[in-house]
Amino acid sequence: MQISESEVDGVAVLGLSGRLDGLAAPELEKKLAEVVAAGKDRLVFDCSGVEYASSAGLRVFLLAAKQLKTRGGRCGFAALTAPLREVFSVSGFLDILEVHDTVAQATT
Amino acid sequence: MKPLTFTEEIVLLALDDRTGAQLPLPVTALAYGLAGAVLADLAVAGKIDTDEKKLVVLDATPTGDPLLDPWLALIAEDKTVHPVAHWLSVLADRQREIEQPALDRLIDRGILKRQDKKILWVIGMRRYPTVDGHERTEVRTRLGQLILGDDIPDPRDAILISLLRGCCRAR
Repeated sequence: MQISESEVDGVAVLGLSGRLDGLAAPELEKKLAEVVAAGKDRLVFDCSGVEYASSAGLRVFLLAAKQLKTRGGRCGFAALTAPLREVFSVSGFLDILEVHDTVAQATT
Repeated sequence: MKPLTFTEEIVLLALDDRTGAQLPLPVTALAYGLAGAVLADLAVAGKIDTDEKKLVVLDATPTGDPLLDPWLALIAEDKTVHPVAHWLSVLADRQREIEQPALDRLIDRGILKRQDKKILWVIGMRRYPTVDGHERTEVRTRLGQLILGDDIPDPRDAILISLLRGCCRAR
């Protein structure tokens, strides 16, 4: 999995590309910890390149949403690919997480 | 004290606080709940990963937890990749072998006590009443707040809610 980091209007954006599985999840969790440690209170995952997400990947997404909300911040998930939207739907994540069609919408 | 595993939490929550008898559950509900709990413990430990179609072993080295390692070894020995449903079924058939060590550990932790009784002076009956209800009260309070509120659960709580829902205990 490739993870790119950028910032849009003060919002941290992590661009994800490839397979978010049990091997990639620890790397994403580490990146999340860096964002949280840097004091960011808004984070958006650009999911337009996510080909696949396993349960390990979903756990990191949930952890991110929980951590940001606990500190009074927000965590958005933008541009879900069809496979990711499917697992978000099955897992109930569409009901509890902030999902946006585009990164621009998520960062406003 | 080390946090309870999902396996221990399911065993604990399936018992009546006062009498220590198993709560009335649909047939096989606890078996599948415990099977799911073992898989969840292995997943959180980074040993396995799952998706809708398959369960894969990421790391076959033992966790060091005797409640989990026999099952990790069993899954790792099978060179065929199966869906989660397969392993749920296999582990559900081994319910006693999962449940008894978890009960023993809860006794060792001082959370439960073993109580042997006789019905009509003949039929032996073993129950596990609670010694210290703190753990159970804490998990029930936490889950109750999550279910009734609009907070985002952390991954551990989300897994536990799913397991309880799966074995009909999320009431």
